[in-house]
Amino acid sequence: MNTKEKFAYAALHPLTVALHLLGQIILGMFIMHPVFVAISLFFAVVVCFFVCGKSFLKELKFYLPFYIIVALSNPLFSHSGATPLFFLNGKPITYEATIYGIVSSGMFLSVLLWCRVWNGIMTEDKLVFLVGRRLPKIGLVLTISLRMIPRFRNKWWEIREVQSTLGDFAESGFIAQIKGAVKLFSALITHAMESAVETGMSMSARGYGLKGRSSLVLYKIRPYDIVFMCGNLFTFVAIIVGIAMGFIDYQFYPTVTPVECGSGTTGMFVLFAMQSALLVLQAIKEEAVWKYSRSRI
Amino acid sequence: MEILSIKDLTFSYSGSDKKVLNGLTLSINEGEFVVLYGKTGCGKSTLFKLIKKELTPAGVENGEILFKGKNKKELSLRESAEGIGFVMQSPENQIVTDRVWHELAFYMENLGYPSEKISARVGEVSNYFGITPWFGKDTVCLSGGEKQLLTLASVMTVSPSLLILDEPTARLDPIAANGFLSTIKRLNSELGITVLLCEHRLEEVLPIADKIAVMEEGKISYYGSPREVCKKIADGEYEKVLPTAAKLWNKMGREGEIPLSVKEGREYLSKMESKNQITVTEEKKGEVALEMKNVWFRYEKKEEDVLKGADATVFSGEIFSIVGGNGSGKSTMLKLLAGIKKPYRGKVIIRGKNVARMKKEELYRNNIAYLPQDPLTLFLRDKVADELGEEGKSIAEKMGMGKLLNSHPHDLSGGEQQKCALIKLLNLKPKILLLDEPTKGLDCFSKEELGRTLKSLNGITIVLVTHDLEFAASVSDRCTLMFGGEILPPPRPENFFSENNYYTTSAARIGRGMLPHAVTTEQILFGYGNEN
Repeated sequence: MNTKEKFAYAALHPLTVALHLLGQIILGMFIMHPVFVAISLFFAVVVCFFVCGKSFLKELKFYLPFYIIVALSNPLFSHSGATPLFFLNGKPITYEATIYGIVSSGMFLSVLLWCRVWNGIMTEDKLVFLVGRRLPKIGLVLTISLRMIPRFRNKWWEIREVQSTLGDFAESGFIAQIKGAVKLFSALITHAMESAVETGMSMSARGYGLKGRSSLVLYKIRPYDIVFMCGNLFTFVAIIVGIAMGFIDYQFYPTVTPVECGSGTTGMFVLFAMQSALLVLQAIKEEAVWKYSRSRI
Repeated sequence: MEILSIKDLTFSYSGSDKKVLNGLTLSINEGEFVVLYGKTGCGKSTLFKLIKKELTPAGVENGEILFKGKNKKELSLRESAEGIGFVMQSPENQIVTDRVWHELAFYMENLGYPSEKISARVGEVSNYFGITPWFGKDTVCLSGGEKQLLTLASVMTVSPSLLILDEPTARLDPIAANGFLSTIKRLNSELGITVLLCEHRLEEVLPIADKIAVMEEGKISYYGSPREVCKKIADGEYEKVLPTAAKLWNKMGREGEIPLSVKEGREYLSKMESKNQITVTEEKKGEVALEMKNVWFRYEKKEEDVLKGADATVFSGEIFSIVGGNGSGKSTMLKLLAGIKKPYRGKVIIRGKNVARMKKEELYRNNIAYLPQDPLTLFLRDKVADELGEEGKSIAEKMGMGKLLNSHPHDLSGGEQQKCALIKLLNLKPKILLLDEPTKGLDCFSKEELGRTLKSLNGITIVLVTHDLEFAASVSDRCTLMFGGEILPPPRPENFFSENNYYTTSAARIGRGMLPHAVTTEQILFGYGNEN
């Protein structure tokens, strides 16, 4: 758990964050425009640092090679495009395919990073809360399964360890091991059934199944959430309209379109940058509020 | 005012003629703390389930159960759910949700409380029970004691007027168990909640209870204040169940009022004169069976070490017990001895050979046998008979367990599971037996039997890890404490328990300063010239 994340995003309602990140992921997935991709990628990296702290540097060790490999693979395998840079094994490596590789790989990475942000902020209980508001039964099933998975995983290892001392797993060979695993699995199922009986009793003893179940609302939508969501909705709709009006059309093949700086397109860039920066602004705002309240003490 | 009244209750499960409850009558007044005692299988759990309408099993029920003057049949499910709180044995199985806060809210959500009321009550309850520090945690990360406390707290969120607890401490270590019991006492005295508790450990519970009921063959055979009942049952087979102080009173002439707590026991003993000294037997040092040399271990690379340079030597043929609080690394150490986990530094040597270099075959064939905390993990098959093999079956029949051979291992009681597991392991003809918490969930009769069995296993070296100090004191040749990832050098139990002030048996607490080196009831009786 990272403390910075908690402080910066604890004030936001999970729904606000979820909608914002969904917007980022959707726009990030469908817009193949170098400037858009650059904006999305830049802010995704910044928010990742806010969410994960220094440990994100370690994760970058994985993301960077991923980026380079995906970027390089396109010109190596795709030879369309009008401008050959040089020839490899008699096949042209084109300028267009290279640019396409760089941009599409950036798009991939930005979506990946926004998903990473989602994972960091939207913890399981926030998700269960969101689902449970609309569909209480599914919410309960989710929370019960989230409890069962680690329990049964531990039990599986426990049984395995104990059985290994009885010599049941000493047999090598693929078939013998599969047979052993099947026996072990059936023991685990028996165990699960037995414990489910008691869990069921504990549930009905606490009135589960009575009519009129309610649920605890942990998060409240505050005025600030509404402002945040409205701003987000405005930029999102404006960008969709902009796409429909062809402001951000872009072509890689046969030749790369030069980046235009007409007022419509520039407007789109600014709107998208504003939207992508929302979580960064939120973190900065929280920091400022904290510093200000400290300075008054 | 009477809160619960049971009149002439008879019950048999559907498909069976056997009357589990047979004319049971019991009356509990508001605000009372009542302890129900009965041997395993006497029908306590059935009684509890009948009181709680939602849990009533299928079967034929006759007689009357009145809750707050209202007949059970007329009681609505909501009234029953809200009025009677119910806590069961297993800390693991009772928790429903994945987060602590959600578990606390669960009961109130079921009853449809408005959200504001739920959050106010959750806050209040988590403060009262001291749950706040782990409020945001996943329920999987909690210890057994914390889980049981959470279950109790969750039940208390709707403030039921009657609290029923079915052996809530059976799977907790003694320190967590005492903490749990004192929380219940607090609920009873601070909030006036009526408590009906079923418990094997009368030692801790009797001094705080208002009344005790003893249940036999589906009936209440004794009911009254702890002192009255203890006096009455002191003659029969229940003598073993009595608290140590009462046992001493019983065997030493029964003068004056019967003492129940350690304090009363000391007062009682101080009026007596000791006749014999307890001699500490010499340590027998035989061949070394098992050795740990500077063993270090941790589960994950980034975690703290569980074992920090643990050293120990176990001699051939002795019973070596290790006690210590939760999380002291006892169970982990046993896993290292069993070769399940490997130390990252140091050596575990078994009969002259380094475990790390031994093959599974060599390690487990007629060499080491390991009894895990949950004996059920030893069983993979559907019938006890299939698990035990021919030889095991004949042993089981000799031990009077012939009837159980066709049952499913999960259907056995805790004591029976433990026995079957032991038979299965002894079948492997081990030279070293490693036992992890062998007395967990056993009543004192099964415990005594287990102690006798272990002592009779000549030639087998036994290492046992336990929370049960009385048990460790009575069976072991040497006994030691594990603390901070290290094993302290082990003396004889007479020295160990008489030198400890807090971590010791009740008998040692009673005899402190009056009879040196006495750590069991038998030794005190011997010291005061009352052998029999």
